[in-house]
Amino acid sequence: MPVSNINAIHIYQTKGMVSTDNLMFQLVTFTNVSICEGAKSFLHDYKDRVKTIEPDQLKQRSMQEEIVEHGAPVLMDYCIFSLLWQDDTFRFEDLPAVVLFLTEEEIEYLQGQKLPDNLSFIHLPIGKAALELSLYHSLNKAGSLKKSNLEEERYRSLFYKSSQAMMLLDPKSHKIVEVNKSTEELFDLPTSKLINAGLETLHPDKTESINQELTRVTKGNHSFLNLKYQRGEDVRDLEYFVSIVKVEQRKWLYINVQDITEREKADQMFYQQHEMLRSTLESIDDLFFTLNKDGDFIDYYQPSGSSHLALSSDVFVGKNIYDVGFPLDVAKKYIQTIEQVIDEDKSEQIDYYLEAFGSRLWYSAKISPRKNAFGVAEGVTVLCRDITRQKRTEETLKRARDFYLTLLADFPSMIWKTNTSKRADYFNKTWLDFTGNKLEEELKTDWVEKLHIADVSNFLATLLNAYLKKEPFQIEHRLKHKSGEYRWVINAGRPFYNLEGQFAGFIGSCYDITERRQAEELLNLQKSAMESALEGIIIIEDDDERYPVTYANKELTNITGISGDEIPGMDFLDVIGCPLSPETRSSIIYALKNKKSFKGEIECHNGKQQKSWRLLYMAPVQDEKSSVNHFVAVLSDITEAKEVENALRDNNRQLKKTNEELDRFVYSTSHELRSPLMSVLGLLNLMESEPDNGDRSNYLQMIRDTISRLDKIIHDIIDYSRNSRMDVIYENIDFEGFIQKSITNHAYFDQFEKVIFEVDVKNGVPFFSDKKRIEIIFNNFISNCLRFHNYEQIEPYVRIKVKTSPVNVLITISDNGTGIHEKHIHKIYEMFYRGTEKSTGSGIGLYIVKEIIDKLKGNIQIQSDPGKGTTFIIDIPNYPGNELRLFSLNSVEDQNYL
Amino acid sequence: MNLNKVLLIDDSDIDNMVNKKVIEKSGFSTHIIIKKSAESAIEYLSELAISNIEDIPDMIFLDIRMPDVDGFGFLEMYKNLPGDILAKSRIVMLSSSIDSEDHKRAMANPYVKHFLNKPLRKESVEMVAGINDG
Repeated sequence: MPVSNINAIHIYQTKGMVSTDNLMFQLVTFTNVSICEGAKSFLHDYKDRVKTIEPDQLKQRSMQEEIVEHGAPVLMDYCIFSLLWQDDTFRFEDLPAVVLFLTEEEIEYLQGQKLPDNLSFIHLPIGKAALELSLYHSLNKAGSLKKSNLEEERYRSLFYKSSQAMMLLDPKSHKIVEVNKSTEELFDLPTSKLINAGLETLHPDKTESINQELTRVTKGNHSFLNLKYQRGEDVRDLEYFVSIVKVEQRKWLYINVQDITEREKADQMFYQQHEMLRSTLESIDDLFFTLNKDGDFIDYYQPSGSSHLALSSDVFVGKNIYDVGFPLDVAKKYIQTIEQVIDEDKSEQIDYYLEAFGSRLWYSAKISPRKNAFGVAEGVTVLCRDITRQKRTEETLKRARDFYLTLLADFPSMIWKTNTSKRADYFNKTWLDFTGNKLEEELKTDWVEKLHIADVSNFLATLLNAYLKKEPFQIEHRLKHKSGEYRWVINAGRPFYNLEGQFAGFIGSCYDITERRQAEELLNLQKSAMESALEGIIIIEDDDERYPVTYANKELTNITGISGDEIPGMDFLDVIGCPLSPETRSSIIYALKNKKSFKGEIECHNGKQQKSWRLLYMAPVQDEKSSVNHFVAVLSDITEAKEVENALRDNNRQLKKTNEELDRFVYSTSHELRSPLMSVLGLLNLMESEPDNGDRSNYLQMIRDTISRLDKIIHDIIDYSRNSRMDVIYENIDFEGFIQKSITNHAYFDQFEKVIFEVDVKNGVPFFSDKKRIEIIFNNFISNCLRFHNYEQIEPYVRIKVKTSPVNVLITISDNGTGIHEKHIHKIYEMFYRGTEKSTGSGIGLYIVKEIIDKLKGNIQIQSDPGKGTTFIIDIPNYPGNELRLFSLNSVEDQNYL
Repeated sequence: MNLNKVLLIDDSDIDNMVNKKVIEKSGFSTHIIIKKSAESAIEYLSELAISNIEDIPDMIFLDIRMPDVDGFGFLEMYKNLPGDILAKSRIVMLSSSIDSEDHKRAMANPYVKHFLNKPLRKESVEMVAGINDG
């Protein structure tokens, strides 16, 4: 071994004079000489290379730098080390390497202390070679020596760095002498706590067994020890492998420690899972077994209390499925299915039944491929379930379903059902009877074909909306009847859910409401008609005590003025308006009480003295039971009709009077005209039958007179006719001229000369009236005066007085003639009335006069004393102003008035 | 025959003259009294009943249309006359009226035996007289 490179610094404790020669001696004496033979020899041999210094010199910086420069290890004994260790100013770390000479006891003192990494120990006693080696190692460690014992280093490295926890124990004391890092970690203790400790400190409760075991191993065996170690709160399972190793003829107990906690846990878990699986298989109701490809039983787990082949697994395992009592067809089915399952590599299910104890037991077996670790199907697993109860439930359910289907089919309403895709999948018998289709046909026809074209879009929209919201719906539409006509139905649908609670479509029913709808339409029509009626229509409730109105149409409001909102509930008697007269009121109440009809006119007086008339018809309404709970009344405003009627009645009265007058006129006229004609005829007969004896000229004169009379009558009739026919034409009247002309006209009269006419006209105010009519008046009066005058007296006279005013004219005509007897006075204005046989006229004259005066809105009065005379006083109004102009405009057109 | 007495009641002088002549020509009577109003005729007949029954007319020719009291008015008064007159006199209506109402009304009267239309003709008088005789 080359040692030329070894340089070292030796430090010693000065105790008096020390020479280089006796350095070792000093050293040896200072330390335990007996165990330092090797060191003494080393120092002696290497005295040139070892520099000896004192502890204080080491603290000097220059010395330290020299040491680092040389890379020399520093040798010291425990005394000097502890001296320097306690000196805080000294830094061991700055030295390349420190080698301590330590005895066994001194090593103990250093246990548990944190020592510098560059510190090495040399156990004393040590030989020269061992010391050389240690120095070499320590120098190597310091990096100053290249040379190394690689092999040992590797082992040491392996030992320290091994992931295996390893330790060396003294075979005698059983104390730990060496541990590696993993051991520290395993026990979570520093090396210092482990070194010199016994295993019993780690496992206090197992001291005895550990020592026995270690003793046993010392004798040449190896051993495994399983011990629990409390690490903090954790309990670790440790496995000790203990063996004896020999190092440099020295035996050590080598211990390898493994933490087997996780492994134990895994084992435990595996065991538990296994047990769980087993107990699960045994606790479920399902039978579980495995078969190989040929149908041989490999495993068989049966549930406790199962009815299925309640035999122990021993019966099955190892036997073929054909040999364990299955019916042949069931076994065959199994074999076939096994093949299929393996071929297709997927599960299959088979249902079968077994007869047992007189009842049929149903099973459902799920057969799945059973693969080995390489994924190859070697056989099958079979999960076999007793489905007898399920089968029975299904059976019951099916019967129940059939029952409800029958019920639906015979249900008197039309019923349909749609699936989730909105297509109909069911129609009941009533529906099919309606459409006349068979179910298959009905299912094929679309809604569009079933419904009236006008209702389709609305129906589909409603259905779609109902599907979206899953809400019930109701709709009215027309549905095609088998007769081809469309009937109105009310169709109500609601979503339904299957037994699993999932939406399964809609179910609905239809009712034929055609009649109802027609009735409604009729009702609407009737109502509209009533609303449109031009007479007020009222429906009255018969409440015995009261008669409230339940309905009234618009026209009633028009008639009565009561707003439509107010009418319902009002008493009927208040609605028909106007304060009713007590008689009408009691008549209506009588009719209501006795459930009779009433017809009558109601006279209404409005505030403004306007009279209106209403016609009321009222009749009891009989219901189906012929009892009367309502009345219907029709009220119409007949004011106009009534006015027309009244006018008509007046007209009629007038007409009747006129007619009577006409009758009388015709009768009288015909007689008055015929009478002179017959006289003439009589005279002619006489003349014919007699020879001309001189009387003929008399007869002719008589005929002439008679004809004149007839002509007079005809003139009078024309005058009368004119007066009644012609409009009044106003002109300025020249009374003087009129009167004179009128008197002159009568000059032909026999005794005209005897009569004295006295005329007194005072017409300072122009008087306007109808010329022709005034003329007729004067003519008649003068004629009458002449004809009925008393010619026996000395001075028969006629006095005529006229006095005009802006208002009127007063005409007085008086005579001292025969007068008119009182009994005739009230008749003198009658047509063709003649008072005495002296009246040779027609008897129409005064009638015409009276008619004219009436027409001119005048007035006539008579005073007469028979035998003394008569006075007529005539009062005719004057018409100035506008009416004059009216005249002047019309005068030209009326030229033909003659 | 000539002993027959006739009363003419008519307001028309011409008609009375013509009628008188026709009756005379018929030979029925020459004893013909003329009254121009109903009132004067009643008065005349009343007097006859008292003083001169002999002169009670066998036949009365009565006009209808007369002023004041007409033919029907006469008949009303006539029925109240003494029975001798009513028993003897035969009343013949003589009118220019061709109104059937007048005819009906006249013939309804028990004292009226005939209804003749003016003008009076000889044949009519003979016809009336013949019945009278019979």
